[in-house]
Amino acid sequence: MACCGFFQVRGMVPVCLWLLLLCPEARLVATAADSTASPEGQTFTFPWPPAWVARGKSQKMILRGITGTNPGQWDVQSCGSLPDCLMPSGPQFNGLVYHNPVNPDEIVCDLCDSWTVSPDGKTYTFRLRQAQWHDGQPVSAEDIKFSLDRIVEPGAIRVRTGVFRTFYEHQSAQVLDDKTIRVPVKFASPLFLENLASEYMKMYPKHVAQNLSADEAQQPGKLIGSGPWKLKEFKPHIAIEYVRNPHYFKKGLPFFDGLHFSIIRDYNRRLAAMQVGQAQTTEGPTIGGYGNEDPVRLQRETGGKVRAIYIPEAVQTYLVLHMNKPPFNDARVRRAVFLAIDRQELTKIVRCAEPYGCFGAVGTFLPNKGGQTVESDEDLAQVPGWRQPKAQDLAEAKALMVAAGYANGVRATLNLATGAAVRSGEVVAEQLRKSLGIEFTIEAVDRATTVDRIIRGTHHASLDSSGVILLDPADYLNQHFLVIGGQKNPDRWSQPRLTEIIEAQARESDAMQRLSLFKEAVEILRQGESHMVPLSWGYSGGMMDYRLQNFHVPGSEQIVKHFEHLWWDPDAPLPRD
Amino acid sequence: MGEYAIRRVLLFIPTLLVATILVFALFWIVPGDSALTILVGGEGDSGMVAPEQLEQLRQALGLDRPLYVQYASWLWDVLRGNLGTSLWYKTPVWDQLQDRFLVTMELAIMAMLMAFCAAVPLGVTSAVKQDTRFDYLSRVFSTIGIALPTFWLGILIVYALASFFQWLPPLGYATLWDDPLMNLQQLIFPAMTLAFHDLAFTARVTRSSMLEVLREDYLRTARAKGLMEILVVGRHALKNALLPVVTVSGYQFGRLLGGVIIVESIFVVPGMGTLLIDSIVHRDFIVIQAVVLLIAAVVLMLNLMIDLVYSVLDPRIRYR
Repeated sequence: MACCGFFQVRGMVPVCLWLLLLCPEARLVATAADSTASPEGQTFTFPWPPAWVARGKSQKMILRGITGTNPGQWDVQSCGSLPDCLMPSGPQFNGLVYHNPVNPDEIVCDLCDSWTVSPDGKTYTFRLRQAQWHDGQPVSAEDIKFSLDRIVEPGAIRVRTGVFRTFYEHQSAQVLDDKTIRVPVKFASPLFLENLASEYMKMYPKHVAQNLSADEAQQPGKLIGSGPWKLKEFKPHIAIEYVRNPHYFKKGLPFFDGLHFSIIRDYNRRLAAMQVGQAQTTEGPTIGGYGNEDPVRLQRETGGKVRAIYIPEAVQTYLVLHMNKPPFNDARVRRAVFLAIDRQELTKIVRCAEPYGCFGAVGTFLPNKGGQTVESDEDLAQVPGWRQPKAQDLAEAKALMVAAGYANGVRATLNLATGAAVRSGEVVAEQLRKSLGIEFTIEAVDRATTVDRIIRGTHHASLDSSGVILLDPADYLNQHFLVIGGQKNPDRWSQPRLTEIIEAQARESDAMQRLSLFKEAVEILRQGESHMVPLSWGYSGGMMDYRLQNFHVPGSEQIVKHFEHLWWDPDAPLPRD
Repeated sequence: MGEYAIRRVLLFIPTLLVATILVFALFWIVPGDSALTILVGGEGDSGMVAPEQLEQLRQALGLDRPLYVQYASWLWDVLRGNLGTSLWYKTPVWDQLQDRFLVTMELAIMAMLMAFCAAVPLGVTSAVKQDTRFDYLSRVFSTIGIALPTFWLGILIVYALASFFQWLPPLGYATLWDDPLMNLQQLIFPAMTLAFHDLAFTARVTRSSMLEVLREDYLRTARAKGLMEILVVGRHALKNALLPVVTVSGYQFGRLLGGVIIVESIFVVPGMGTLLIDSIVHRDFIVIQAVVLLIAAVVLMLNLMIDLVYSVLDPRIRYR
């Protein structure tokens, strides 16, 4: 029951009962296993489905899904959006390595057959499988080198993969032979493989990609991959269709003959499509849009035919305090806000929906991902800003406001996006009005406008949210404190020791040492003087038909997008509540 | 009449120009642009966007140019018959518009016909049976139809179909000539949703117009001459009562095109409304301008046609 332990987060017991249905330990009927041993002590184990699936008895069907967006970008290396780009385009491609779809915390070979690491940890040598691109050309080491170089191409816009430049120098990889490539890393880092396993780090065929301009590469069908699915047709605002790659290098995969994702912009219509069985899975299959009670409600209303799926601690909501103007240019006021917010009350109001349960938690500062616990519940119970009761924190917060010259409070504007964020904004504004006399005027606009306002710092504060991309606590530090001046850190806040820690943890190979660096980083952030005030963690949610098998909930909505490992069991028993 | 029609068509030019300038200006008052949505995703999935990247993309898309230059550049392309290239999809706008325009027009015409065919008999009967139970029910129905927001009715219909019948219109889209039955299944409910408001409004106008006409002396004379009531109402009253109804229908068609935007999203119809919403989310002003231009042209053309129909309905009207 290891996977259910994964869901034992604060306030999550009711949902965990349902997640039992997804646990392979509980109901998988694996009959055989294909194991490929790889060096460095890692083993790629792929549990095979029941024999009747392997025989092809029930795979003569198209998996039907729904998605809420009409994609406009198809170059995964370049783009930055999960629903607009990765979800629609990703199934065509492979990475060099990826997160094992049946054990998502583990990084295993995808296009590679094995890899070795030099003793100093600064050189990785990958041996490739006998794979071929969709046009029949073999996947070669030259293609991998081309792809790595394309990702770090100087001057090119790489929204998600740009971080890879930290580890890999352009043109530095060496092709040893047709199936072997040596990749030097700028410094030994535990984050190198984690970044390489990102779903955005797809490999492209050199002979195709080198002839495409940046704009051409964003067109559907222009880039081809080696993945389990070939793009059959993209019908704008109607559907995205894939057919099975019959020459896929992972023998026997994928199980379905094709994928068909209907594009349905309206949220309620998507729920209705799941309800009446027009679709067997939501996009992704999990994505933040369903991180509320709706999947569980639908599960109940359909008698279990629709299964609710949640990734806990997937998206964090936080306040950005703009330091380009008073009052938040004063560190004392920022700390006062940090202390005064009652996160438990906020979470209860915003994330819980009776009678379905809670779909979020107060959570930690940094997410406890990749098997690392930076902050435990016991720690948090004692931490200013998190601890209960609030009396001591409120007293200190008020004193800080007085010292900063705001004894009588202050007026401010709060920028946020329409939708779920509004409720969070209302609760936070009310809490801060009561406790510190900060009178927020809430200005809710569409998402793009909200982001624009954050970057330009037009308001006193903004309410924003951010999802986990990599399964490592460093991911969050990088997102908020490494990229200076963007959406996540618009006023360029930095702290010398924190910057040192961010750099040091990336080079630290000792897990315990690394953990202690994260703990030190958290201690700095808990001073509450940065621009970022964490509020609560929300779930990423989705839905699947109960007959869709072998889905294993990953730690981030940004990973496990292949669909190659899923199969359909028409005789699966209807789960009981 | 020909000279009048030509003069009206020429008047389209400044009207369309003003419409596009207004949309362009409104669009640029709102913060955010295509470059931002391309980088962070239109649906709120934000990446680690550095300001330099944003600026680089703005330059590449030509969004760093002064507004009047951007507008003039777009206008020049349009005058040469080129609606431009979508900033988000990187494909010619016309490629996206041509199929969607037909879908939206089919939906709008279907809704219009449904509304008109139901509203006129309802309004006429209501007027003829003034202050009867039928009249009261018809007026209540009309009031509800006018008060109910179209998008809410659409959501209710989807909810009712899914919850009570476990059925929804099939996903995807089939054209009328490829698969008429599927096309009907897909469009009948959105058309009903759109038609409901128009039906209610047109029925009210028909009723009041009929009530006015029914009190005219010439109708009393017709009855006195022993003409059958059905001929009195159908031939003499209705023809004269239709003039305001036709006027209202023209206005309603323009309104209906506005309603299409939301209804298409709710019922997954791949028309211009869906495209417009997507383009607004992505701040794709090239597509938005093209859609607005097209809708404005349709509405203007329709109004001209209605004006010309007046003279057919009422021979006393002459255009100079």
